[in-house]
Formats: sequence, C-alpha cells, structure tokens
Amino acid sequence: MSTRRYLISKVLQAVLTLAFVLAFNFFLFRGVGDPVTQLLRGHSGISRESVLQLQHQLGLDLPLPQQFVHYVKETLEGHLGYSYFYNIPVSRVIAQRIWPTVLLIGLSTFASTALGIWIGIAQGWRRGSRYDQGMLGFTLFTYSMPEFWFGLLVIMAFAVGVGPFPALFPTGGYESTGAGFTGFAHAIDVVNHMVLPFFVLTLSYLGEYSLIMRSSLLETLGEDFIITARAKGLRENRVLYGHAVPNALLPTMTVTILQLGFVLSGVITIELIFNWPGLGLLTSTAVDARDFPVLQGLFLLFSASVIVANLVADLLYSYLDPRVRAG
Amino acid sequence: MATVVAMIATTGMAASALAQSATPTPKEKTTFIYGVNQPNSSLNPLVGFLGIDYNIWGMEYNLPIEFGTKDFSPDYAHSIVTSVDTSSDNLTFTYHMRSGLKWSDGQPFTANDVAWTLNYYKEHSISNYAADLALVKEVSVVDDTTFEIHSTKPTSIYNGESVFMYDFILPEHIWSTLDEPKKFEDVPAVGSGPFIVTKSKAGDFVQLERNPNYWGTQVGLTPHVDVIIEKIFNDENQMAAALQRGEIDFIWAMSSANILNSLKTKPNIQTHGAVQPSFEELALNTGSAFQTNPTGGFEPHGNGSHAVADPAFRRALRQAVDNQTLVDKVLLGYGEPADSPVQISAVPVGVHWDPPPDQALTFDLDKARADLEAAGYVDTDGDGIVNDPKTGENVVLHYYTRTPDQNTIKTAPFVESWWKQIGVGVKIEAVSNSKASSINVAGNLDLYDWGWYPNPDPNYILGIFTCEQRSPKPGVYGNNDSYFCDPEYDKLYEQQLTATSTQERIDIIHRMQQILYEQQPYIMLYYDQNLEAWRTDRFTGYIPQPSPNGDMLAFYGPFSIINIRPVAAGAGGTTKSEGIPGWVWIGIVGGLIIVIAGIMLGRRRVSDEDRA
Repeated sequence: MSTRRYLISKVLQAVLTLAFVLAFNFFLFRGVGDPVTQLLRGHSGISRESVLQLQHQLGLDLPLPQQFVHYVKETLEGHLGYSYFYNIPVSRVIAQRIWPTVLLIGLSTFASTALGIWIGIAQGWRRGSRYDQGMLGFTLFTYSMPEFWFGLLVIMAFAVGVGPFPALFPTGGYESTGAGFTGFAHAIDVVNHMVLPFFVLTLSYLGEYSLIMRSSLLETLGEDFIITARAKGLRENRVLYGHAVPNALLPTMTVTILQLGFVLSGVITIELIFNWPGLGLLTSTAVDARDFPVLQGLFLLFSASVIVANLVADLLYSYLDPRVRAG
Repeated sequence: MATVVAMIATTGMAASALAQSATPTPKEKTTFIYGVNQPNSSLNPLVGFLGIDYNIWGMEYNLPIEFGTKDFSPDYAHSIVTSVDTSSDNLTFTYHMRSGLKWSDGQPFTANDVAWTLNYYKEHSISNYAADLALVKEVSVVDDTTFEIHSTKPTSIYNGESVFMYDFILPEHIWSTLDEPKKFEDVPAVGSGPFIVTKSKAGDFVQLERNPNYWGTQVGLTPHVDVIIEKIFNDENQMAAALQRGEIDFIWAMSSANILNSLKTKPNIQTHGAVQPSFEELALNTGSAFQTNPTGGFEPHGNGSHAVADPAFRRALRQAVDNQTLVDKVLLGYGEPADSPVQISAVPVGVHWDPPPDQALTFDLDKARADLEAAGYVDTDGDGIVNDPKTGENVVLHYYTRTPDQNTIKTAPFVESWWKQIGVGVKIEAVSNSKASSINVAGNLDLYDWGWYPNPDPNYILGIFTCEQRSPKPGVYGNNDSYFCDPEYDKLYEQQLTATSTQERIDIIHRMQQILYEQQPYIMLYYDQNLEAWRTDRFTGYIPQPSPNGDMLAFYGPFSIINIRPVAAGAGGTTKSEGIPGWVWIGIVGGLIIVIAGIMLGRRRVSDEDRA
C-alpha cells in the first residue's frame, strides 16, 4: 500500500471512530440516572413547577432525538454546555483541570517510560544475572501494588512524618492555597506539591515499560543480525545500543505513545488521595453528581486523545518500520 | 570536560543564589483555612443547594434577622433589622433596619434591596427560599430603613419572634441588571457580610477577603482575620494529614468517626462532635402503589409491599430498632437517638417534641413480635418469616442503602438482624444517591436509608410530609420520599403557617410530630453530629452554635468567623510554601545535570573507540 493511501485510511478511521464516540457518549450517560432527582433532593421549596422548570432549564424535557441533535450541533460549535453541578461552562470546568493533569501524569509517564526502558535494557542485556532477577522482582512488586495504598504510605512517611521520616513535603493539593505566590516561587511551590504523587506514579508504572523492554530486547538479541554484528567484531556496547535497542524499542514505543493518549484521563486514585485537582478527580465527581455535560465533555476529550495517540503511533510505526507500510 | 563541568557547577550555584534572593515573601495577611469534604455546587445563591454553599453565603450576605449563636433565637443586636411591628390583623409586618449600611462596593444598602430580593425570590420560585415566602403577597418599601411584608393570610411566621426567613439579601444594583441571574457566577461578589468571595476554583477552593465596608463594625463585629479559604478535599485521610501538618487550621464536617478519633491523640489538635440540625432515617414507602387520590394529580405507582403501607406494621418495625446501639456502633458515639424530624435545636425555641414515656415505641423485640401478631402478621408456613395477612406471602422488605454514605451500609446489618428476630425478612442493596432517588421516584422500594439537613425552622422539613410533595408519577421528583399522605396532617401544616401566635404554632407543630410518630413514615434513627477538628495552636475564639456543643464555626451566621483570632501574634495563618526551598531544588537539579552529563560524556568516549 502506498504511504499516501495508508495515511488517508488511518486518518479516516480515526475520524469515524471519533464520530462514533460522540454519539455513544450521549446515550451512555442518559442510562445512568436522572440528574434532576439528584439535584433537587433537599430543596426546601420544591413544587411541580420547580421540577418542570429545572427539567426545561437543563433541556431534559425535549424528546431524546432533539436533545441529541442539539448536543451534536453545540459540540461541533465548540460549546460543551453548562455543568449541572457547578453551573459554569463545561469548557471552563475542564480547562481549570487540564494543566495539573498534563503536568503530573505527563511528567510521571515520561519518567516511568525513560526509567523503565533503561532498567529493561540493562535487565535484557544481563539476563539471568542477580541484577536482572532483583529488578524483575522489584518492578513486578511496584507494578502490582495498588498505587493508592502506596500513596497513603508515602503521605504518612514524607508528608506527615513517621518515626525517622521527616515531614518534607505537603500532604497534597496543587499549590499552597491563598499564599499568592507568583513566578519562580509559584513554580517551586507546585514542584513541592508534585514530588510525592510524581514519585508514586513513576514507581507504580515503570514496571510496565521495563517488562516490555526486557522481553522485546531478549527477542531481538536472538536475531541473526545480532550474531552478524558480533561476528563483525563490534564491541558489545555498539551491538546493544547501535543494533539491538533500536529494533527492540518499537513495541515499547507503541505502548508509550498509547499511554500518552491516556494522560488526560488522569489517575483517579492518585488525584483523590493527593487532592490533585486533575481531570481524573473531576470525572469521579461528575459521575457521582450525574453531571452529564461535564461527563460528555470529558469522555469526548479522553476518547479524542486516545484516538489521536493511536493514529500517531500507527503513523510513526509505519515510518520507523517499512514492513508495516509494505504489508 | 573539566571546563564543561565547571561551567555547569558555576551556573548552578549562581542560579541557586538568585532563587534564594528572588523568592518573594508572601503577603502578611492573617489567613484562616478550613477543609471540607465535598465541592460547592455553586456560589450563586439562586442556584447552589449544598450546606457548604450556605456557609459561604452566611459570610457574604445578611439575613433580615440573624440566628443567634446561643439557641438560634433572633439576634437583633447584630442584624440589619432592629425590630419588627405586627399589625393588629396579623397581615402586615413592618421591619425597621439600621441606617448607614453599605455594600462592599460602597453603595448604600437599604430597604429597597431587601424588598427587591424577597420579591424576586417569590416571583421566580427560587427553590431555596420559596417555602419561606409561601404566605408573602408582596414586600413593599416604606423608606430607606423600613420595609413591610404583606401576608396573604394572618400569620405569626413573619412577626420576628423567631427567625423564619433563611433568605440571603442581595444587592439590587448588581442583580437586577443581569440578563440571566442564574448563570451569574458571583465571583468576585458584592455583599454585605464580613467577608466577600474574591476567588474560586470549582472543586478546589473558595477564597474570601474582608469586606472593607462591613457595617458590623458599628455594633462591635470586627473580624480579626483578613482572608478565609475553604479548601476542598476529596479524601478525608488527606484532609486529616493536612490538619496534622498545619496546612489547614480547621476541618469542618468529616464523615469518618474513625479518622476523627485518630486525630484525638495528635498534638495541638482538638476534636469535636458538633450538634447540628441533621438526622438520618429509614424512609418507609407508606403506599405509593396503593394510595387513592385525595388531593388530585397523584397516580399510584411502584411495587412497595402492603405490609409497609400498614401503620401497625411500621410501628412494630420501629420497636425493633435500637437507636442507641446504632449511635454507639455506627456513629461511634457522635450522635444521639432521634424520635422526631424536628431537631432538638429547632426554632421557635420549644418546638421540638418528644413522645411521652407511655407512648414511646422503645426497643423491645418481644413487644414488636407481639404487636406484629396482633396486627395479623403471623408465620403461617413455619419458615421463620411472617406472612402478609392480605396476600399470604412472606414479608421480605427491599431495603436500599447508599454507597456515598458508609453509615447507611454499616446500619443495615444491625437492622436486618433485629428484624429477622421478629420474623421480617430483608433484602439489602447498596446503590448510588442518584439511583436511590430514581428508585424512590418510581415507587419501587419498601425503604431506604437517607437523611436531611433541615433549616432551623421546621416548616421546611414538616412540608415534605404533605400529600402535595409526593412524587405524583414515575419520573417526576417529589420531596416526600415516604409517600406519606394524611389529610389531618396536611390541614395542620396549613394551620401552623397561619397561626397568629408563636405559642399556638408550636402547639400545632407538636401535634404534627405526634402524628408522624404514630404513623412512622420515617423510622427516625439518630441526629448525627458534625465531626470537626482544629489546630489549637493557630486560632482561638470559636463560638459554638447552638451553645455549648454546636458547630464551632457557627455557619448559620458569621459570628464565630468574625470572632476567631490568631492564638498569638504571628502564630496563625500566614501561608508559606511547604516543602523543600527553591535553592535546594536548584542544587539537586544542578547535581543531576552534572551526573547525566558525566554519563553521556563517558558513553561518547566509548563510542569513539568503537568507531576506531
């Protein structure tokens, strides 16, 4: 298949997937309960008129097909509606949370990838050694442990202080609320708040990349071209980094790019226990409040980022590995 | 190589020195930070509906008459209204205001603002305030410091002997100019209270600063803090850790008694279970599927059981619930047993009713079993479960608990065990709040466990038991989740609104509570306490409301917030960056750069050799 045809077909696939997600999102959230009952409980002056008023205000008294048309039209115009719970535009609710999520999850994904790859390479190269076995145990342990549990321990140890561990870092949040820091001081303040969740996330997910890298490298090291490289008299370092790693990196790279697509969805448990005001936490609150417009906006955003990441991975892979285009 | 390393090291040290000198000191403002465990729904008084929203408005705006801290009685000494005159026909109530009041933007605050606000709430059926204004025909302005409430019927509820109108007064010059007032975010706000919202981030925090034009300083109400921050937490462990570390000064409303108890032994921290107007109940479906239609517009719907529709059956169930055990085991002592939805601290003072000892349905499994039998509920097939005399089927009740409230889940096994002992089967299911509401509106339940946080005046909570408040058909919400409908009760509800003396109203409300007790649409469980904790080394001067064991931040008004002050000069509230100082970070990053540079330079030498 020619490159141009390949490109066009992948892009078209991504657009169609996004259109399906747009429609699916709408009907999905209308199956989880009526937001009016949730919003009205406890109001002292509820009358039939108030109920009908609220239903009309939220557009829930229209027939479902009409609600759907309205939803698609507004979404294509860039209006994501008003949050039922916060009563401000959905785009503003989401915009306030994007940067904290990108910062924490993006950086920790990058760090766990880089560290995981480095460890995986060292493990694969020294297969069977004490280093390999030790790191295998360590990465499996960190990958399988619940990150929220680990996070609570880290808070106890380094934020509150237990025994010999001093209280070095804040217990949570994005910044020192009300401190009024700006510029460099604000940046340091955010860094201090980010250290613990960053540490927990990096450690929790580096196992994923190290295991894939190790496995991929072991497979590559068994290939004929590696034997040829050694037969040519190349040093071991050159065999590893010049020939084995670039080929072994392909599966890891695919996983990494796909993981980057999930960055925006955040990690709900970590955001919860560290009170990190990200999109994951927003999703959790919106589900509980049956805040349809926010949920629709979030899921559209998450789906779009995964679809785009998938597309980028496809295109990059085809560029790096000509066999994919030829196939 | 040495040159490169030296350059990096020098740059690092210079940057570190720069960071130290460049880091500005935070502004010297006394800041009080309190933590809450849920986000605000809205800061707009027309739209928000949560208790924590009311807390913010209580600091920003004034009620016509404020709730006193001792027992919620009117506090005219510290209200915008100083006195109320009642006409001889009990139809016109003349309110006299203080003079010289101002809004935070310097504009005069007059009777016109009060009249505009109350008329607006009435005309637009603003759900937070509609019940308070049910009898208001119109609010008129006499002069800048006098307004009149004209009632549709003779009444005592506006005579000022008790605080009936829990309605925040808004600045007319701001709100009357808005095209869509319900979409107004009200940040930054213009208000008349001691503090005004200046910043907020949805789901994260709300920041208030002192109102420079606060009228309260005329009457000795001078705040001692400059900034108040409501910090929102989503995990109570994290909130407790923040208090321990001193990142916040106060925890307002924690739901976990276990976490609160863990703070008891921590240094410089005090814990407290605050008496509050909140209760938890088992709401029984008194017959959504069977009721006839006394008021019109109601369609029988749902699949609730015949047994629960029988008051004698409900009374037997009530005698098989040990409230004290639930308080001890579920609330860990932070509460007290309840018998009436009108809380002990309700106003007018004395309106709460307790059943006399000879009428009390106390916990007694033997008596409950005997009463069930007397009502015809006997185990006819010997399987241990009583049978419905109307249908002959086993009586197994579908009982819903709610996942966001762990107390409901902890309560259920106790209730199940007690009811099993009297022969009533139970099928328990945990659902979300929204699902529970939907099920209730559909009438497809026998009972669920929920609670209310009523206003200090019982008019609101009594109103939910009227026939008109039932969900009229599936899919249409109604506050009356027990589907209770009693014409005598409805008549008394109207009468308490139109009683022309406060004592007469109290007597009528006592009778209403008695009817609810006899009919048991709610099996009242307990009045749960507001779990609070604070740093004792930061702020002092908290005033509980009601006295002595109420909410230490007294959020039905601003008085506690106004009174709190730092423990010692400089001891409280200036926030600083927590964590490692900037210059240390520069050093760490500089060191890392040196190490990575060294590794890369080392690799480069090796690869040069490879090529050779």
